[in-house]
Formats: sequence, structure tokens, C-alpha cells
Amino acid sequence: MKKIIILTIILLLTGCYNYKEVSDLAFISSFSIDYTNNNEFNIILEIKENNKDNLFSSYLLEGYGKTIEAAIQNASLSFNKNLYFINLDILLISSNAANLKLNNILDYVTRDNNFALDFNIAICDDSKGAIENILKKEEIFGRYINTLFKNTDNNVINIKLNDLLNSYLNHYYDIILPIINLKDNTIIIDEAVIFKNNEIIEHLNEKEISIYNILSNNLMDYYIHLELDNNIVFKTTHYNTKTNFKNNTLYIIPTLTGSYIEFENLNLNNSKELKRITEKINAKFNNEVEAFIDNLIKIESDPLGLKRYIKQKSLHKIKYRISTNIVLENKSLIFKSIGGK
Amino acid sequence: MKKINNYEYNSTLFLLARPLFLGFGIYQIINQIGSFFWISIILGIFLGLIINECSKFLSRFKALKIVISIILLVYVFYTLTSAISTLYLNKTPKFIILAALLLVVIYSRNKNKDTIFKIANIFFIINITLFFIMTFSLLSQINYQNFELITKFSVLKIINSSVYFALLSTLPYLTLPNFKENYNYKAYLFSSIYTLILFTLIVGILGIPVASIYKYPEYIIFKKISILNIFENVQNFLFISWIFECFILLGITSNNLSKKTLLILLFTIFILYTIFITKFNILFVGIY
Amino acid sequence: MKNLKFIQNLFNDTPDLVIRTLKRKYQSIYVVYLESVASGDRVNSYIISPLTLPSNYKEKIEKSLAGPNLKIITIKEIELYLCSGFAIILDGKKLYAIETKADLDRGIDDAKVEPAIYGPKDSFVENIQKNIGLIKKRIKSGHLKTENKLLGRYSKTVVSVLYIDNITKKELISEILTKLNNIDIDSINTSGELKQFLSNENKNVFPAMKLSERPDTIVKSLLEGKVIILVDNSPFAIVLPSVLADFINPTVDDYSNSLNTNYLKVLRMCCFILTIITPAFYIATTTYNPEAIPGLLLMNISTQRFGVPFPSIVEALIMLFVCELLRESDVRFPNNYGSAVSILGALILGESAVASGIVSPIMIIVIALTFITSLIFNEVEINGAVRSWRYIFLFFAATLGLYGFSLAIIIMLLNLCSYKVFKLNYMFPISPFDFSYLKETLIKIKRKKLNTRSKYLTDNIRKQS
Repeated sequence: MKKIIILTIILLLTGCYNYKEVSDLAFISSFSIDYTNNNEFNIILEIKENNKDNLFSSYLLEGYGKTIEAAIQNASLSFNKNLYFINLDILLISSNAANLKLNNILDYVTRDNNFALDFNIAICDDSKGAIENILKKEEIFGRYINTLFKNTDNNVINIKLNDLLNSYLNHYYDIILPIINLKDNTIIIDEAVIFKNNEIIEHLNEKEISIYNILSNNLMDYYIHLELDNNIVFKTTHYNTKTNFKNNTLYIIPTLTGSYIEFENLNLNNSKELKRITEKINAKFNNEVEAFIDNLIKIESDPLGLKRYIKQKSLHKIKYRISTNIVLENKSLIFKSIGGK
Repeated sequence: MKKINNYEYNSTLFLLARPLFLGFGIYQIINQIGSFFWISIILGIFLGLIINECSKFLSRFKALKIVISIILLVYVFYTLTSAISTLYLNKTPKFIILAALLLVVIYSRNKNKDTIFKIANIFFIINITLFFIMTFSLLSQINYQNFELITKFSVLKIINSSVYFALLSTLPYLTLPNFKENYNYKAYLFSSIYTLILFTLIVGILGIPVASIYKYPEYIIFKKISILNIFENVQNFLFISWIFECFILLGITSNNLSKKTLLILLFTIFILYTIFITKFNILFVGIY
Repeated sequence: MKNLKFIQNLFNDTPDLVIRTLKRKYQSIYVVYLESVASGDRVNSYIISPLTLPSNYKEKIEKSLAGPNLKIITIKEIELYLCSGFAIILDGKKLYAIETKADLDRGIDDAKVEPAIYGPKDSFVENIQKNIGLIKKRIKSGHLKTENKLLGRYSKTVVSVLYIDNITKKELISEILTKLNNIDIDSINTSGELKQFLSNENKNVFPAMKLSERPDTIVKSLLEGKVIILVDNSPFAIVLPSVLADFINPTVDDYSNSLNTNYLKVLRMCCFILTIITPAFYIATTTYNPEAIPGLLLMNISTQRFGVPFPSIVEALIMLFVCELLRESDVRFPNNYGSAVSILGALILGESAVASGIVSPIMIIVIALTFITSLIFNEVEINGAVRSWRYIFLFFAATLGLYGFSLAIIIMLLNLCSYKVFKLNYMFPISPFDFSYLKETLIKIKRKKLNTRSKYLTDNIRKQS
């Protein structure tokens, strides 16, 4: 009995290997990887600084090396704190790195236990410019982009590591990632890229991103603008898409639930008028979806995972039909439209 | 040994069906028959009930008890130190983690034989509360698309994995004392349903392709818990329930050996572990 | 005469020995008493007045003596009876002793150590007969038995063992009586000393017996099947056997609404756990797992720890030491000087320690939480036990992180669950699981449903309605 006590005391005095002082940790908010033409990785780390006045600022570290780990060591050579990745907000990959070294990056990020699991991933070709743009506004880049992605008013593609790995390892899906662009000194996320066999083949614009979100049931707001004699805007709050495969055709049935939010000089009591408008919107939406899927068939890429319904290896020469349902619900405060009779 | 309550025995039955799944169990089953785990586990539960009836008969043989105790002891020490070294303490040398665990097991052997059952009673309550916290925070993150059937249907693989499941959950019962009189099938059933819910959560949240690359998927889903947007990264606290279950198994298997043999056995484990880790490093990296 | 010489030799240098000679018939009667412990008035009214009446001149002594307690004693018992306050009458070769004790104790007072808002406010005093009276006033049954023993060679203290004979188990009573018979010591002054003989202290820091000064607690324990030991000259009674649940919940819970008291019971359980694990938990999370702490709080902690030169565990040890000093000085120091000491304590723990860079503010909050939760227990032994375990948890958590914390939980549970107090497990209502005792201590249900006693403590389970 006494021997056990002596042994435990000796064991407890053997030194703490994993002991980390909180003030010696550097919290990393964004991590950007680029693969240059010299076959070298070029990384940028954004480190959150804590000041005593509770203001947030951050600074950047750059490094380069043959491997990711070598580049990180290079970046932290003159830095006096331990790098701590567990609160990472965003990972930026350049297009060159995404084309050539995506396997390596995803392996590095998944293997370590001290990496977060819930960070966003995006493609950015000029990460240093983008980060410094936000730093001038005295905000932290990672947190800013995080809240930007969470905002459902914008139609963005919000992909975290788990979703990316799921699509990447699943042979029915091709991955899709958002792009962060720097236009006129502001950051805009209005494009996305699709991959095929792990290479970038196509950019999608804003309209196509919103259709992608509807077809894959990501909850974002969406609006259709119809231009007849007047401007009418229909906004959806809720949508659901079902997909079937029967008789050799793929049936895609999106159901949009929403209401009209902007009218101009319209008489709402005329139900025929409303019916006509609804059918026009239906037709317009159908056309847009057909154009999108035709485009996908042409480039032979499948970010929606339609292959799992058809059980073929490619989308080549499939027949499809789209039938939209628009469900109107009335959530307005006024009965008549202002300017209508 | 003399006065073991009904509640205590049932709590040990509940807790013992799970520790062998740490590390190697869940990974194997998901890799073999990804999407059809439901069928396989339900078959495994039935098989397990049948095996329990057989082990009522087999529990008479004391030699078998001692052999299985020694095998399980060595196996659980190894898996538990690997798990803790990967997940909790990265830089600590493994033999320090092993030594701490050895000392606790020796301390528990010095107490009466029915102390472990009383501790199991308390651990049962702790595990159930942690389980409810975990399930209710993770239910909202299940993605129904992950349940679609991706892998191929193969009868041989399903039977293979159900046998594997049944063996992993019923082997520890062979080491229990007085198994014939006190066995209650409901405890085993509840424990297997718990494991089934865990599998459902793993497949529903991570998806089959992702869950089949991780070594400890039961730890990875805890990383996704976020309560009220404040309590994140609580995975280390919730994983303690596995440590408690493994400890119960260690305690019960060490009860079957006499104090001297236990000391000699643990001493040899310690020395062999330190030697083998340094010499045959490559062999062990492949498995763990 | 021989007896008188014997007494005079024995009490040679005692100035308070009084010998009064009375003449009767043809011989003298000697009345001997000690002035310090016997009351002169009573000697007068019970002995001297009746004996000096002329009408009692020829009567026998036993018929003419007043006084409720008259005994015929031998030479060997003279010392015991004289020192207990009896007056001894030497009549030739016969020796009589009459009880004429002086009132040397205080009256029945408020309970100072265990106060209650709605309960009765009387408490035990230093006289064993009054204490037994307070108990018998509440249990009016012939089944309440007492066994008296004299312990201590020089002190010859009266020790009473009380139990209800159709509820308590017979093995328990015989075991206690054999243990009491084996005690051979100079003196026993208080029940605290007697407690150490009856329990096996080397096994565990947690106390095995409870000391109580409230009669209502004693009565409730007697009716559950426990044994009470009262020691003369001590206002505390020993309740055996006591388990952990008894220390955490006071008896006064019975006097209020069950919903309110259930909330308070849950609060006390949480306090018991918090007071052991809080410093260890804090150190394990901030140094080994900082990701579990929300982001803003983590930034605040890191700015606070910036100017402190010590690692967290040294800070924790310093603060624990200072708090123990404060508590100990609070107990020892006389009340009149008290205010300056508390101001000094507040100054030390307040801004000065933080401003001088010795500790960080968050460590003060953690240690303050630890100490405030430990003030719930008024039993000194529990505080000592909890303190030892607090240090053990602290060392395990500081070297091995959360893994060490879980190992420490396992070790503490092993220690508690294997501790047996008179064949009753220390973690009694939880394991082995006993619902009827759980209903009385750890959760509280309506009064009407409390029908049974617990079968581990007694064989007589049904409470007669």
C-alpha cells in the first residue's frame, strides 16, 4: 500500500509534457495555402492578437517551403509563441494548389487532432490582398468571413471541412467551392468553381449558385425578378427539391414556398392576373434550371450528386424533366398594392 | 462477492458490452458494410443473446476465465493507452500513461472484490447523463442524405460483421463471477441499443466515406457538439465515459487473478511495452 | 472509625473535604462530602435536618433520611461516589451514599454549531442525565434502552449507549459494547476522543461517526435504527453508523415543503462535488485543453495571466494556503479582536495580490468558489477530508490533464466505495442502492409516503401507523 503511494508520487513528479500556458499560445484565425511555380508551398497565417482594451487586431506571418509543414516552420521561425490551430475560422486555397495538391492539403488538415473541424474552405488567388483589405478596417479576417458565410441573405456556398470531405471521398459527387474575389477594394463572394476529377473546370455565376443551392436544399433566401409591364419580385423563404428516376428519365421537382414582396401598380383582386404572373414565374424558373443542368451535362461534372439516382458513371445523355411548384403564402401587411386599382 | 446487489450487477452488464469497441471495433464494421449497419447490428444483437446463453454454460471452466481475462487485460491496456496518447496527451511518452493506469488497477485489486460493482453503479449514472447530453445536442446535426445506400450489398460481409459485433460485445461477460445466476438479458439489450444509436449518429453526421477514414469516429462526432454557441470543443469531457468503461473491464478481469500473478503480469506488460515500442516501431504504426 | 481514617488518608490534602459529626444513641455518625461538587443546601435538607430532629432520634437511619437516591456502598466505591457529588454517611460499618450534586453546568441553551430556523432550539449540555432527559422527553416508549459504562481510570466518565431494542440490530449493539469494554486509558474527556477509539482511522480520511448537539437529530437517527453514545461532560452525542449522505443533509430539511428542500438538496450535492473538483478542473482545462473555453474568455484569461510569473498550479497552492490560514485564524482568534483580522484578509485576497502580480484575478474567483461551497458543511472532519482530496485531484490534473482528472475520480470512488462503517457501506443510499433511505436523505417525498425503514439498517421495516 505504501509502495503504491510512493510510486504514484514519483510518477506525478515526472514532468508535464503537454502543459501549455495560455499566454504562450497564438490563436490562428485564417490559413492560406498557395502552390507556386517553383514547386513550393507559400503559406500565410493570420494570428489574433489580444490587447488589453478588448480590441481585436491581427497580424500576418508568411513562409514558404517544399512541404506544408516546412512552410509553417519557416513562417514561425522568428515568432515566439506556439501556433494553435484549433480555433481556425477559414482555410484559403489558391487555384493552383487546388488543382495540383488538394490531396496533400486535405490529408494534412484531417490527420492532426489539434485542428478544428468546423472551418470554412474557399478558393482565393490573392489571399494576402484580401486579408490586408479587411485588416485595414480593424477587423479579423477569419471572423469577418465566417459571419459573411453564415448570412443567409447572400447566396453563397457554405462548405465546411466535413462536407468537403464527404463530397471528395464519395464517387458520386464532384466538389464545388466558393471563390473570394477582391474587386474595387472590396471582398465579394459571388462566384464558385466546380471540379471534375479534382481539377477546376468551370466558374459559376451568382444566378447559377442560387439554383445550385435550391437543388441541393441549402437554406438560403432566393428571389426571382419578373419584368413584364411592371416589376414583380417573388421571394422564397422555404424550398424543397425531390429527385426521382423513373422510366429512364430523371424527374426534378423543386417546390418553392414564398410570397410576392415587390409590386408596381398592380391590382391584386384580379385572380386571373395573379395566376398568369405565377405561371410566368414558373416558366422562367424552369428555363433557368434547364439551362443550368444542360451546362452541367455539357461539362460532365456533377456537384449535385445526380449520379446516385441514375447509377451510371457519368451524366452523359440522360433525359430529365423539371416541374416546379410555386406555393404562395401571404405574409404582407397591406391588402392592396399601392398604385393598383 | 458475497452481497452483490441486483442493480450493481446489471450496471456492470450494461457497461461491459462496450469497451472493446474502442478504436478498432467501429472502424472495422463501418469499413466492411457501411450503409447496411442496421441489419448487421440487429443480427449481431440476436447472435449476442444466443452467445450469452452459451457462456452461462461455459462460465464453469475457471481456466477459460483466466485465459480470457489475461487476453482482454493486455488488449484493453494497449488500446486505451493508444487512444489517450492520440487524443489527450500528444507529447507524453506512452509508458507514463500506461504506468498511471497500472497503478490504479493495482490499487483497485487491493480492495474487496465487490467494490468494482459498486463503482459500476455510479458510473452507470454518469454515463447515462453524458449519453443524453450527447444525443440531444447532436440530433439536430444529422443529415438525412447520409443514410442513402452507397455500399454494395453482400451477405457474406453482413454476416461477418454481425459475428464480429456479437463477439466484441459478449466476450467480457465470460470473466464475470456468478454469471449464471445473475445474468439479465435486458441489460445487454439496452447496452446494444446504445451502441446502435451511437452508430446511427456516426453515420448520420459524418457520412460513410468520412467515417471510414477516421480512427476514432466516436470522438470525432463529439467535436461537432455546440451548445448555445458557447460550449464548443467539449469532446474531451464526454470521452471520459469510455475511460470509465475500460476501467471497469480492467477491474473485473484483474479480480480473477491473484495479487501475485497480477503484479507479475503488469510488470511484464510494462517492460515489454517499453522495449517493443522502441524496437518494433514500424509494426505497430501499421495497426495503430 | 476505620472507614473514616481511610477517607482522611485518601483525601489528605483536600481542603474542601467536609466531615460533620452527629451524635445518635450511643455512636456518632459521620457525614462526609466534598464541598466543591456537592451542594451544601441539599446535604442540609436531605441528611442533617432529618437526622437532627428529636423525633428521629431512635429511628433507623434509612427510614429517617430524605433524598431520592440512596445507595448502600462498599469501601472501594467511596472515591467514585465522593467525587461524583454524593454525601457519604458512615454508620459504624455501614456506608450509605445519598445524591446531593451541585449544579455545575449551564442551562439548556441555543444550538451554536447546528442552527435551525424552524426547528427546536434546545441543545445538549454537559450533564448526561439532562441529555438523556431531553431524549426521553421525545421518545416516550419503554423500548428505548440505555447501557451505562464507566471509562477511564482517573476520570471514570459515565458513557451511555442508547438504542431502541426492537428496531436496532443486535449485532451492532454487541459489537459496540465489546469495543467499549476493550478501552483502557487514563481519561476520556469528550465524545471526540471516544470517537477515535471506535473507528478505524487509518483507513480513510472521511469520518465514520457524526457528532450532533441537537436532540431532534438524535431522535430521528434512533428511529432509523442507529445507536447513540452519550459521554458525560460533553455536549455532543455520537451517532453510529453514519454514512456520507448524513453529513451532507441536515435534519432540518424535514420541517419544510418537499419541493423547496429537494432543490436545496441538489444544491448541496453540487456543492460537495464542486468543492473537490473546481481547482483541478480549472487547471486541467486551461493548461491542457484550452479549446473548451469560449474564445473571448480565453483571450481574457491570457491577458490576465500575462504578468504572473508562476505557473497555474503554484498560484493555486499559494491561494489555498492563504485561505486555510484565514479560516484557521478565524476559529482561534477571540471575537473581540475579530474585525481587524477580516479586513486584513480581504486586503490580502483583494486588489493587492492581483495588483502586485502574484496571482491572477480568475484564480481568486476559482478559489473563492471552492471555499464558499465548502462552508455548507459544518462538520470539521468533512472539511478536512475534502481538503486532502482536493490536493490529490489538483496534483493529478496538473500533471496529466483531463486523463489524470478522470483517474483521480476513479481513485476517490474506489476509496469511498470500499469503506465500511460497522458493516455498512459508506456510499450507502447510492450503492448499494436503497430506495427507502434515499427517500429520507437524498430526495424528499411527501410525508405520507414514508412508510418503511431501510432494510440495511434494521430488520423491523414497517413503520407502524
